Amino acid sequence: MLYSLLFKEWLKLKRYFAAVLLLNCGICLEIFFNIRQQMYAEHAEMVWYQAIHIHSLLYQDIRYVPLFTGLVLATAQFVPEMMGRRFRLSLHLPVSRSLMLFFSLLSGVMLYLIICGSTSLCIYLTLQKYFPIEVAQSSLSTMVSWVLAGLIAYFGCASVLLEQSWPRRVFLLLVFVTLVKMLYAGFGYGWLAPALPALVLLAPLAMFSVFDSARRFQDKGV
Amino acid sequence: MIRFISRYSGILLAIVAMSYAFPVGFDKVFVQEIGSPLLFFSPLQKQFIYRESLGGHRFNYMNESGASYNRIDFESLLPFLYYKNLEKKNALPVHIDGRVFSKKAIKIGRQGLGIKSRHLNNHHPQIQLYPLFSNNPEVAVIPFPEDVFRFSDTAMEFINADSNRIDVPLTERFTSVLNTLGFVFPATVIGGKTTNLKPFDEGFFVRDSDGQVFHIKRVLDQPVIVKTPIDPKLDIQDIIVSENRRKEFYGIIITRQGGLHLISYDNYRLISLPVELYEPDRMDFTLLINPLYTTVVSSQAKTVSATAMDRNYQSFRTFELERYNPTSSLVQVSRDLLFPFQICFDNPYRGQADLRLQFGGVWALFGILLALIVFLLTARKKQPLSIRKGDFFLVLFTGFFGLIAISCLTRDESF
Amino acid sequence: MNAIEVHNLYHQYNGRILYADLNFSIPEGTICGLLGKNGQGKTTLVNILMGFLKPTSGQCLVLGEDSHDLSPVVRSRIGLLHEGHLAYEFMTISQTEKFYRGCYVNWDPEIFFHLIGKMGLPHDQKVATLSCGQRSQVVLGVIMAQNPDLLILDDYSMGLDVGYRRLFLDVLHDFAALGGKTILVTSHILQDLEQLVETMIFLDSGGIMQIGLDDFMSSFHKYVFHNAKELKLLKDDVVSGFEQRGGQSTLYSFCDLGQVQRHLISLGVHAEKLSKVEMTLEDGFIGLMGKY
Repeated sequence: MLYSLLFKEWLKLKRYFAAVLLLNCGICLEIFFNIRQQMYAEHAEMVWYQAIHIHSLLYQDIRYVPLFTGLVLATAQFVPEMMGRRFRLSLHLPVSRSLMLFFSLLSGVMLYLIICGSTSLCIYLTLQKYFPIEVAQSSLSTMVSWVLAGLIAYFGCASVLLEQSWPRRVFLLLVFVTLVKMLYAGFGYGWLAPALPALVLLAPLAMFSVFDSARRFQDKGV
Repeated sequence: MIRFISRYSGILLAIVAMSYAFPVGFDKVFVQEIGSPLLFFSPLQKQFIYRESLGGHRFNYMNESGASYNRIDFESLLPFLYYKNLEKKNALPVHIDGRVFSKKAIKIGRQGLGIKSRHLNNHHPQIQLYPLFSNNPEVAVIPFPEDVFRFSDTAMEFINADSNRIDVPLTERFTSVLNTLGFVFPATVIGGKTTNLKPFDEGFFVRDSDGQVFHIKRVLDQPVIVKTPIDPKLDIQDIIVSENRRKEFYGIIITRQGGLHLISYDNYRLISLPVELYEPDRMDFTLLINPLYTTVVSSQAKTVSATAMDRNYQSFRTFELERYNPTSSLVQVSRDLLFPFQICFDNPYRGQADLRLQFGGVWALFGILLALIVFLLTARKKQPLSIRKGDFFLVLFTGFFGLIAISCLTRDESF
Repeated sequence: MNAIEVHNLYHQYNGRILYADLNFSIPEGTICGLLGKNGQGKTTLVNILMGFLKPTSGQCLVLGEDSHDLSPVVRSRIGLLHEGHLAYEFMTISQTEKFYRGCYVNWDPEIFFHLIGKMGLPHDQKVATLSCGQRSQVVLGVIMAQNPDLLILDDYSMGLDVGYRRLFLDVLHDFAALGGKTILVTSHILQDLEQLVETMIFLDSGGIMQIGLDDFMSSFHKYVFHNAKELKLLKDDVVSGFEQRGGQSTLYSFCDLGQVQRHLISLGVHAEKLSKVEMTLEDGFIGLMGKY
């Protein structure tokens, strides 16, 4: 049963997964070539100075890519379920509904983390090639909040799509937009790092809120 | 169970979002932000004078006795600060207490140093890699070094920017001198000015694991390191280096307890500033030196305090000014009524996120009471008792945030 | 034992009461048609029975469990056909089979491929590219291969031409012939239902009438007579429905010819050539429920 659930999600996701993976790779390459060019064109120590003391983020271009990735994956998974309210088919499967939704979300989250993990690794390796290890390490703590924002956006998008009442859909949309905005607060590297242990808790809350929307879908399915 | 968890997860998320966004939105609409007052010691009046912002580009110019001025008169009371005004009026040199101060004397007798709490060590994210400028007595400009240094557990490592590799000879040169001088790795505080936009370079002051402070400079790529006699027991939060042509002090040591000590050029003797109330965690401070007096101004959320000292750093006058708050009490009360707490990241004394709950005043309790009354009047009797109890406590703790979240997300739910 | 039991069902939507106190049951092994005009809450009732809508109050038991909270085991015994023959359109036919095979323990791939084979479609064809009729066969294949005990079919005939409708009916007949199977079906094509159902539930103005098909067809009558004047007969104890087309009037009633004749005389209606004529289920439906 679980294999079937994952198989279904994979069928919905595979093209979009490939597309966003390609996009992520493209941006990573762009960042790599930008940094390489900058190191050749300018004095390396000045580029280092900008990165370390001016707090310039040379990987700034990746900032909103996890957000976009999360939204694309959630849309790919839940728009087909909402068209003609096909989610009813899933709800009728002979498996616990919570488990069904959990595996649905799990497959999306796994692919999301695979993409973001690879992207973060690429950025890390690029920075490690041209900068001291501390700069590469700081990129990880900076990107965590962006990855988290994408994850919250993924759950938010799923929640909003599953929601049946328009006023509530708008309310949820505002809630999730605010939460995502929260995760993009600040500037430079590691600005949000001290708050991350608490902000990470938003992810399970956001995941469970999808279950609430799904329950409402089942309760009010006219 | 999953229903219970998911229901309250959604509600909690909404509360988090509202408590983050609503107060900020409210402040944008109703609360006026104004700048910090500027406090100076007037050498002519022998008392403090200040410029207070009233919002909307309006200012009050006053002295501590309550007399008010216009801008021109105010500036004329600060001849060392606005000496260029006097120069234009051909009113230089300045005569004060029988002493004469020429333009040159004023210029070389002045020094200013502003330290924001958010720029202090551990108050902002800072990768611990620094450029150690190489001093060349024959060259006027300070060239940027091709490397940065870090303090590892065993060495002062230099990493070359072109190769992104450790410069082993340079590393060994500096490390061996440090070892000879008894430096105990790793470093605990590293202070220096990481810009070449300064008249000359004094390198870095580094505190080792035993609390000893070393002065590290680089002259023609050779280490010039001094083990200073600074008391190792000082609980140093940060060392701010400020190169100035007056060459009176290298910089200032800030201790976690709020001590401020200038590191003098006289064999690193510490000059303690007689400032009673300075808390590095929640205050900014400014040091203003002119040919006659030194003033230290520390500012915090509600007050600004100033201490005037003579040239020997002996305090002789202090003054505290309450900050002007342009927000009406009605706005403040409404804010507290509506928002019992606020989720904040921004902190004026931190250069990074400082996540905290900021609670409202006593009116917040009335707000919660009001929210509870609305909740009880609109509560649906059909709901299970556990849910009604849960919702009640949620409103009890979160006021209107909880009420709005519950009514928006669960208004038409059935059990 | 009843496959479906509805007790004191009350449901309102946007302030409008759809059912005030609905009670009925469908015994196991029967084929029941749910009939009602548009807007009488037929789809809502099917949604409640399928478990996708929580009624305001009352109880709906499907195979002994609350329809809104069916256990996975009971869900595996129920085959649902949603209006419009809902299927996962992003899947191919073989992917659909692969997916459902993993979901149902009693899955019989032969039944599925037998039904698909009738259409001669390649198995790697996407469901999204199938015609409505072809898709209906895929959906039917999915339901039949589950070997359910209860089928709930919401407007199976929608969008199907006569050939696919027949194909669908053939499969349903074969399924019913297995014995012990319960089918609840709604359709707009009443002549199909006439060949299929054993009992019917008429849904009208929040109330229901449940009756066996044979009982209905034998106790409900269609009468015609000629009358030059324009007539307007309201519903009463005798007249269940009345329509007039040109000079010919049609009257529907549960009463016999004599009772109808006496009733018309008492109403002052001159019913020329009053006679009982053959009635189809569609006639009966119109006679009982009206046209709109």
